[in-house]
Amino acid sequence: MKNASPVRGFISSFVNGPWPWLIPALGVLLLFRGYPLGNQFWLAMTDMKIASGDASFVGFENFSFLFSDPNYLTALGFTILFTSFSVFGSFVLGFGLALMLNRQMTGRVIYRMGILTTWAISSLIVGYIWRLMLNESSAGVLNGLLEPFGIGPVPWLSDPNMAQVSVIVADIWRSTGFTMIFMLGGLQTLPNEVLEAAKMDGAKGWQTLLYIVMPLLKPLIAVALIFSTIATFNVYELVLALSSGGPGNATSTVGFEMYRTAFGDSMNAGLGLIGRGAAMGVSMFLVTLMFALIYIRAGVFARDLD
Amino acid sequence: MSDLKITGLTKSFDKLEVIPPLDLYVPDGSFTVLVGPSGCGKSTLLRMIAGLEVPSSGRLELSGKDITQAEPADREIAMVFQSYALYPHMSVERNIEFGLKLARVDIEERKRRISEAARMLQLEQLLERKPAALSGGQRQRVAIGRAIVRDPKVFLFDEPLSNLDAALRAKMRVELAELHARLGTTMIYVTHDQTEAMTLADQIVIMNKGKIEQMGSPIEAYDRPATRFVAEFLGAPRMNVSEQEKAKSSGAFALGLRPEDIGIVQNQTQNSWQGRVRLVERLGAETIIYTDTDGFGDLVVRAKSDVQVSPNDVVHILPDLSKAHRFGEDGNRIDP
Repeated sequence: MKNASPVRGFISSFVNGPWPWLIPALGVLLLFRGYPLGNQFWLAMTDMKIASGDASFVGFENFSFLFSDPNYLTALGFTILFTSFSVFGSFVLGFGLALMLNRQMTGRVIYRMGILTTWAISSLIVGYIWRLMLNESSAGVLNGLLEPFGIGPVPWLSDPNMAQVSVIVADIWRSTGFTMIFMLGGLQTLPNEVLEAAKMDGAKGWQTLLYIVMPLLKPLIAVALIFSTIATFNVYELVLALSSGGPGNATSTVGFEMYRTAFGDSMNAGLGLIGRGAAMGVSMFLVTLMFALIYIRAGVFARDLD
Repeated sequence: MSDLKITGLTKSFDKLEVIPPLDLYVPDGSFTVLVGPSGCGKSTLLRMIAGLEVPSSGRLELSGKDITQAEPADREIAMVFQSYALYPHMSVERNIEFGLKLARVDIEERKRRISEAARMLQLEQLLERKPAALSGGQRQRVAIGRAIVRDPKVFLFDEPLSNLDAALRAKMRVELAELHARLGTTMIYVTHDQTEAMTLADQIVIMNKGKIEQMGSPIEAYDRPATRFVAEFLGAPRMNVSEQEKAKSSGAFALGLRPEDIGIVQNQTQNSWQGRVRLVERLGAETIIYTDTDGFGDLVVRAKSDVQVSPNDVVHILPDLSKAHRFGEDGNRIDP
């Protein structure tokens, strides 16, 4: 019988199954996500330069170069440091603020909006704001404030270690609002009676937080950490505006290094190496993917909560 | 002795006074039920006893000790919440154990108390489960178990059966009554369900708008309601209360007659009233007849199941006026 042929069977099960319905969405995803991603992987294996636009296949040469590129390795080291401190700092601060703002207090809405604003501002603008504040002459707000006490001028951005701290603090300032609003949303979904039951059971504030609130918010905490890790790991606008990776390359992140390598900058006219930049981009993609997988395993999809 | 004495307790939220000064005495070992319509302040009162709500003024004494300002956990009071409020991420065993752990009870003693409570509440097979894997009745029992192991002086129940279906509710009601008989601990129970109130209470406290309308034994409240509100609140179908001519002629502002104190008779007599049947509900064991009665108005009669009436029939109604309740314009009972 004709109808029983395997090809026919496959076609009819395809047509009657879910796939035809998914084609529009998958098409859009492939066009706008899949193609750029694939293209980047391709570029990463070529020696394309921004000046010529010619590209020839070089295999994994760009990747093996990264492992010996001091600029890349320095940037990678700082990015890991930067991401760890910034994610941790903004989580602790954001969660703390969320706990505070979860109570009945006057002006709650105003505080909430004010703190969220930091996240709504473009990273580039945040970088410029902080650069102004950290201006090392007494015109800078911070040094201006410290001057009467006989402190300073503090080399906020010209000392390598200080510059690293400054960039991290600025990023914590930028991302705290997001964590706060995210965790506040979570706190407000917690059933009040469960918290009261803990109170009747004799739990102090910190015990309720540790044994009840945190475990119940575990999935949400994981999501907040994933989002902020990914956003922080890929940062480059903030660095560009605040420190341009300097002094030297003390505050250069992988994202910034990728930008500088691929598109060049005024101080490194010799760069503009699209292929090598793409390889850095791929390395960022892999690290981001790894973080996502770790956090997902850690509890995003925990289903034991009712 | 674990008796609870409440004197002059009030609660206001901003300028809204939810509970005007209130006095209540709960004797040792009593099963006291606070009952009333929603918004009557019964839950607020319970939460103040628990320590979850701070009274605006007044005094709470447990076994003669002032606990008005004490932390909830220091009151030796345990509470079972309406939603059970189990910790969703903990097993049944850890749910029950949590309060003991916080109180630094040593591990041997913890185990002993948990297994005792589990045996009493038939939870032994469920100790490893998470609340999500339990039925409503099982969750309810875990919530009770969590309260029992702390060996409190007073148990508080906040509408504990309202999330259960009717059959399970009846079953749990019996279990609660048995539990009280076995433990002999003072229990304070909030409900809006008058069947629960009538069946469980040895002391019933009927509340309305933050005030206590009446307290005493359930039967006393049913037979001799102190106010018109109590009269209409207790009983199903509820008491017929009329302010029409029949009330006036009895010398009261309002006249109340329970559906079971009225009969339908074949022939007109000197004392019978005349009414028209609007609706007949045949429940099997009994029949509820809704009538419109001259000089009284809406009147519901509880009759035997085999009564022969149909809608629009004109019937003769014979009230047992010796069991009638008379109320003044202020809503208070008028005694003959």
